[in-house]
Amino acid sequence: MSEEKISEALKKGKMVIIVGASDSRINIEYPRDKVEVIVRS
Amino acid sequence: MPGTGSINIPFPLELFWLIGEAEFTRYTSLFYLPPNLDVTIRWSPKDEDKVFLVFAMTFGSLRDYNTGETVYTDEIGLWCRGPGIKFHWNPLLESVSDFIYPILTPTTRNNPLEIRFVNRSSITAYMDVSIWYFELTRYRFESMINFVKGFTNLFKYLGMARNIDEIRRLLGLR
Repeated sequence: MSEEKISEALKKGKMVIIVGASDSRINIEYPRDKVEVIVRS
Repeated sequence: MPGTGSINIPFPLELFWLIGEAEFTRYTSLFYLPPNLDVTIRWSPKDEDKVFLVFAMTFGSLRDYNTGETVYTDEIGLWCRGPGIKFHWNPLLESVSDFIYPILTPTTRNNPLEIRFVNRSSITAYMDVSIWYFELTRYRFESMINFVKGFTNLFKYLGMARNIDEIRRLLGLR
């Protein structure tokens, strides 16, 4: 499932960030039109 | 082998960890970088009362998304800055990505670590990045800074002493 999401986002020219589910203490600010964040469960 | 070697933790941080004032943790993410990329992200604690004292960054091998092969290029890299860190360019060449990247910066919600990813090449690449840090409250962070200042001031004054008697007097040993 993640692989499909990654591939789709890359086709749109978006950067993809895969974060762990336990990273809830971190704040990441990013431009939503240029970046796709996927949470690895 | 990327990032071969040990990571040195600065002494004040080790001490604060030992006395239970700071908790060690690490953040790791995978980044997929398409061509013509120029994106800035800001990384910080979510909690405004926390300080993430970053002491190292490590980069995995940069790989071609289509072939999986390791790539070294100065057309892909990241600009980085944070509190006490000048804005600087990290091309993903061997001297950067095969090396533990020493860094020391106290990041807060208002003063994040800023990373600008750039890909000027024609390939899609991916890499993993880890940020190694201690988590402290703002109060504990300020205590640590006071400790470090006291430590350096002590040796500064000892260094100014002209003889052993003056050192004894400074240390209250008379």
